[in-house]
Amino acid sequence: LYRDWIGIRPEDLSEANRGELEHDHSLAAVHRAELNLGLQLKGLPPTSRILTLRDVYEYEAAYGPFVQESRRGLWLYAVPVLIVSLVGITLLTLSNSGSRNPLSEGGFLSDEIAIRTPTMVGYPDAVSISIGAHQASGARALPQGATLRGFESAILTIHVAGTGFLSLYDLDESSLVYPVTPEPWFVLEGSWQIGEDSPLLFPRSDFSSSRGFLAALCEEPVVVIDYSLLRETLNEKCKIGEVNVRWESAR
Amino acid sequence: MGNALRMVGIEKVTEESSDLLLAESFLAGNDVAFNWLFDRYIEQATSFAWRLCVDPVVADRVVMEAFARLRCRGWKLHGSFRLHLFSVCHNLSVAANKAPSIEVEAPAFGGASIGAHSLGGENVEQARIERALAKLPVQARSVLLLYYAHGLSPKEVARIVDVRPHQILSQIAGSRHLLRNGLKGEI
Repeated sequence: LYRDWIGIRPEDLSEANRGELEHDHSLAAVHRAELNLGLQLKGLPPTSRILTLRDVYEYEAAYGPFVQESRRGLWLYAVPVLIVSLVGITLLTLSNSGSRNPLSEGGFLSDEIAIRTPTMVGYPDAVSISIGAHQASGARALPQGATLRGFESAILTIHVAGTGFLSLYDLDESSLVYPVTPEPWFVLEGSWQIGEDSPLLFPRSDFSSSRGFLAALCEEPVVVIDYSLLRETLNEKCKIGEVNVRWESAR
Repeated sequence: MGNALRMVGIEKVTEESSDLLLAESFLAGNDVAFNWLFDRYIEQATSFAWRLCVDPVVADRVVMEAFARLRCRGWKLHGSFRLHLFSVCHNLSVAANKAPSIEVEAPAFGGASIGAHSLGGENVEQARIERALAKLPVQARSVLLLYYAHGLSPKEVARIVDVRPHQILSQIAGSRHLLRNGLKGEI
């Protein structure tokens, strides 16, 4: 275990550090050795020649004066910026003076425009999960609604429209399946097979012939504490996709 | 703060006054206070700069420029005078180390020929440490000297070498590790 406080001066040690040194004699020995090494620097002699004030005066006379530049008149820099901004705003105002907002116009197309505008392509299906079947001889795609054979394992692929933090939950076991590390998984639009290079395989449970999975694409990382409230927790800031993987009853 | 400074008159400070009083008195116009601060810290500043710069001519210039800058009164006291002095010395030394082509032809001030002196490590072990120290990166040298040789607090060292306070213990440990490795190569 790396301890960055080893070798620091006694007055800089915390109570916790002192406690640890008292209980661990080998650690205390290392600490003393490191501290001694550091303190050898304190014993180094001073330089053999010391400068005088006269040296400083003469240096100042030769290279000075070292007066800090005053910062008066800084506001003058703002004048050209202000002028350029005003000219830009004026030009924009003049160039847009004859333009019209299409949605504010009447006419037979206005209703159609109003209806179409808020509809974003792919928004209702922002997150979806597709299933593949894996067995010793290889993997096969599974048509929608088809069941896996008892000996096959499921491979899940999540399709995402948009960006955000993606997570996958097992609804039957009430657990987070992916990501397996504490770091949130940020994705851009696309498709991701769970497990990437070595896909995670989801075999048939001994107790049930189906397993439910839920994928959530969230604006920010979400920590689920109570899995009985999973959907309620995620619904606030997440887009959700679910799938129920079903196996044939015989294994 | 201006009014508070003016209250520190020349008659109120002596050679034994605290750094803070002397610095405030100097900033209020008392040049004698600066002379006392100079006498108090010239040895520490010179040792620090010599070990950072290695080249004594450059180091002397660093120290002279540091005190010349402080003498111009164009600064405000944030923390102690010593902290301010070491900050200026550190920054000038780092700049001098980054620019090896810095003009080192220094005039012989005060009748003494600069460059004819050495660090005083007469002891064999001390000479070994001096050599190992001189081979460290300037930042590591500065961290070790400020903390162990000059007794600054970790927080003050962090402020001078411009690292975040929570990283300074790692910097000290890492610099000491480099020194220990360097000593293995110094017989």
